[in-house]
Amino acid sequence: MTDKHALILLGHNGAGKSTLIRYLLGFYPDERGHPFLPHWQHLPSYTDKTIGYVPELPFLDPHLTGWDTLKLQAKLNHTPLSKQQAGDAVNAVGLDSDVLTHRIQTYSKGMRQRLMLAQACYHKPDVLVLDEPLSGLDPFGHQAILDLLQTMKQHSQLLLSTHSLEDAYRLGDEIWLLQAGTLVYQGDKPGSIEALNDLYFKYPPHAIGH
Amino acid sequence: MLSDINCIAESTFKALLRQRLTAFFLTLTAIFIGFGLLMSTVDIGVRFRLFENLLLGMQTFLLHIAGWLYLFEMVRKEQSLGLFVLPLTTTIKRSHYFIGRFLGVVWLMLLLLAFFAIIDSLLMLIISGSVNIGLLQQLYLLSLSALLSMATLYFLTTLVSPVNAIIYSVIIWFIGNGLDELLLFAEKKLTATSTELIRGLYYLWPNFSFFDKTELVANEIGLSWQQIAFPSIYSLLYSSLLLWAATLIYQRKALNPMAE
Repeated sequence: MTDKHALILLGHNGAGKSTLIRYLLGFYPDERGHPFLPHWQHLPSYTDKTIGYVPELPFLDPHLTGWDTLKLQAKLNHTPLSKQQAGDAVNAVGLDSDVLTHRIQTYSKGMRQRLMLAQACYHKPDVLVLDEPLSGLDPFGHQAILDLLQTMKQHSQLLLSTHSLEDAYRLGDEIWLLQAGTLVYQGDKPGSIEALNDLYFKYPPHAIGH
Repeated sequence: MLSDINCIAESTFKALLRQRLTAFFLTLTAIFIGFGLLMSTVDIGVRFRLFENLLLGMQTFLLHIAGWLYLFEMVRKEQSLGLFVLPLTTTIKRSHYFIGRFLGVVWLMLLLLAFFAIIDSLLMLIISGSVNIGLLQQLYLLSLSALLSMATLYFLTTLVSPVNAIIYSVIIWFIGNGLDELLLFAEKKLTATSTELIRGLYYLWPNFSFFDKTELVANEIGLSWQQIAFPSIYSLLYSSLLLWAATLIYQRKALNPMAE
């Protein structure tokens, strides 16, 4: 990946997109016995960079408030965060800053998704890793987050996994296509959405159990 | 390093304190104290302090149950909600994260210990006009016993599911409480070889009988410094050893929130 660059991970369900992301983030210290990991041993991990990560599901503690969550991430990232900055971060993802004082157990699914984005973006990380960040958002939220990600491209590298070819085409500069754990395409984004569509459907999932 | 561990411990402590479990333990404490006060009106002898004996019995139960349930809840929630994911994408080391989580529960137990110590002291002052220091010393030993049982549980959670870990921990605790009697039985009834084997087990197995001085305390026989120092060192060393082993295992684990 080069600076200010958006790399899009595409592939069918079970192709290994989330596993690849978690591998790059260092969640698999031992790759023995895993069907996919040996394919990727040449890839560098992100452990030496500041990272913002938005996982597929909102992995948040329901007993903490939004502010507790942002403050914890900020302290662990060694980046100071004031309440004003936290308010700005949640405003940027379409949340009212008042929600920061509420416990996460009172948040809706969309609000949790947005808080995940806020905790990943507030410190303008070197690399922003997003695993299907737009799933579960209504069209308004979808549009707002796409706009935010376009802005984030100005100061962060983006690694985004998605099933939406439209989003991939709109945001991406480079495409990586996975099929059953193997990287089958790695290159620039095709010239048109139709060409991306054709590329994607060239690599269907194997039969279940293959 | 310390600030990272402290951050994790603080957020773990805060999240656990806000759970319904805390209200449950506070209610149970109030019920037990009420029951103890009611029972203490029964006069069973001048030197034997029934109320203090009851308090210690109940607080032994509460401290251990609280330690197990808070730790179990912390690990269960972490695994089912993938709570390790966001912290571990920062610069924190896995080992620091893992130790911080454990310390968060330890802080909560210290809070519970302080709460019990204050309540017990006030009640003793009101009832008998003086504080039995032995009772507070025993309370301290009980908290060390709870620490060791929590470390056992935490270690087991790195090997088996949280539910199985808590079952095994309770079994280990029960066996560990009966080791005094087992050794006595072996010395009186078994062969020299069997006795030596049981003596080995007496020190190698987490021995919770070292912490129980309730009878001495209830009979107002003061505890010597050796009776406090030995269990303290034993608990801290054994718990550190278990935590160290658990950390080594955790560092090598594949952490996959979807599969946990």
